[in-house]
Amino acid sequence: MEDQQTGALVHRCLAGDAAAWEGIVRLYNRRVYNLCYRFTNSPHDAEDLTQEVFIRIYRTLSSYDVEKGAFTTWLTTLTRNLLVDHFRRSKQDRVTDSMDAGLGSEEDAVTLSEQLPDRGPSPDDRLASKETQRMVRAALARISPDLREAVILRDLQDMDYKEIAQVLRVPEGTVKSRINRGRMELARLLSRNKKQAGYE
Amino acid sequence: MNSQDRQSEMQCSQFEALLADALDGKLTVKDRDAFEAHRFSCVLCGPLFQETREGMLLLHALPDVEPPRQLLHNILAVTSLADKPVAASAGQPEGWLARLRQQLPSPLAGVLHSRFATSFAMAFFSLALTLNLLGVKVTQIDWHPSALRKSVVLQYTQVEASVQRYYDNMRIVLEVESRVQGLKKATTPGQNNRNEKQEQNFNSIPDPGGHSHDHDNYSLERYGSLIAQSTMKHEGAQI
Repeated sequence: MEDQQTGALVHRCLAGDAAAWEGIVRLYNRRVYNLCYRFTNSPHDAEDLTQEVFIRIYRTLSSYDVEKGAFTTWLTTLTRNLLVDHFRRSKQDRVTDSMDAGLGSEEDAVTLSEQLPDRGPSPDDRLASKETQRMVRAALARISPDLREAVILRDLQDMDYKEIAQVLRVPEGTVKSRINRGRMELARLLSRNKKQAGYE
Repeated sequence: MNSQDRQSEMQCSQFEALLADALDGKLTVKDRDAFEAHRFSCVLCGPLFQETREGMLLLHALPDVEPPRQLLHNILAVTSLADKPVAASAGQPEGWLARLRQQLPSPLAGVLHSRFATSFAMAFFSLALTLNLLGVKVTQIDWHPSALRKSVVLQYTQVEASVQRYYDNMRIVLEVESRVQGLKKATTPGQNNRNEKQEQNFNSIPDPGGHSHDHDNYSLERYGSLIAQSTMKHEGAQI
């Protein structure tokens, strides 16, 4: 349903309908912004990148083929390519040894005052507070880009494995493996962080 | 545990491969049973499952971030200023020049800009005019590379031959001239003696008033003004 609606909007936009372009931006700006924000963990970078993504979409909209796949997949692929470029530019590769790097030892790590004790057994309870969410975001920013993008697309963007495989241009098995490792690494980082803070 | 149970037992690698689908609740009953059995029996895979599940739940619990209010307006503003609006140009038919410009690689695209095109046309016109004045007619040139090369070589050879011929002729003329002068000098030796004599007479002029007629025969180049003066004096005396 959403794809049909987007397909119609794209056709109208290519025919010169400015309102259709606004419709596309309204529909997808939140999704793109969140993707950028989860990847960069910076609201400023996310805003700039979201604008860049939409400029690129605006210029290359005619290359989108409705028959070839969902607009969301095309949009996510475009966003992901831009994020990879951004990552290379900013050279913030701090992930390869993220398993060995403690959260508290890094510049952008969550400070001890920001860390809250583990008050409940369920992860939902742990996310009750804003500070805990910040801890998860910080941990997400620490895992390797390959694993991060996989878990973001799966757990935050709710894409299926096939779509993720298309976006990342890797087999579905690799996608699943990366998602497992990403989730596991995230949990371990949080656990280590809590131990360092002396909450366990 | 008998050998059949061992064969049906799930390996850790298989467990890992099914982990994502297990967390999504997409395993078949048979796979799920084997998966659960391995999970509770394996000391490595049990904690692995727990950690992966925890990571997934943490991520699922993260709420969407609210984009900044001005983001939508900024995007619309930026895209309206974009130099190549797809939406506007897609519906309009493009001219052949625009299509050609798009097909050209970017470093060559500037060639088709009006300013450059005008300069190029002017340069071509000047060249054609110059060639026309030199006797080369642009319209009669065969523009095929091999023919063009042949014609350029031919033209060059012709020009080279005519220049060489001119200098050969000049050399002959100069040689003949020098020989004629040599012959002249050799055949009129008295002229030289007379000139020497005239020189001696000029040096022995006694005074301006009492000059002799020999004075009128002095060389024209050197004594022309004196000849004129003396002639005038004689004419005045006759009057």
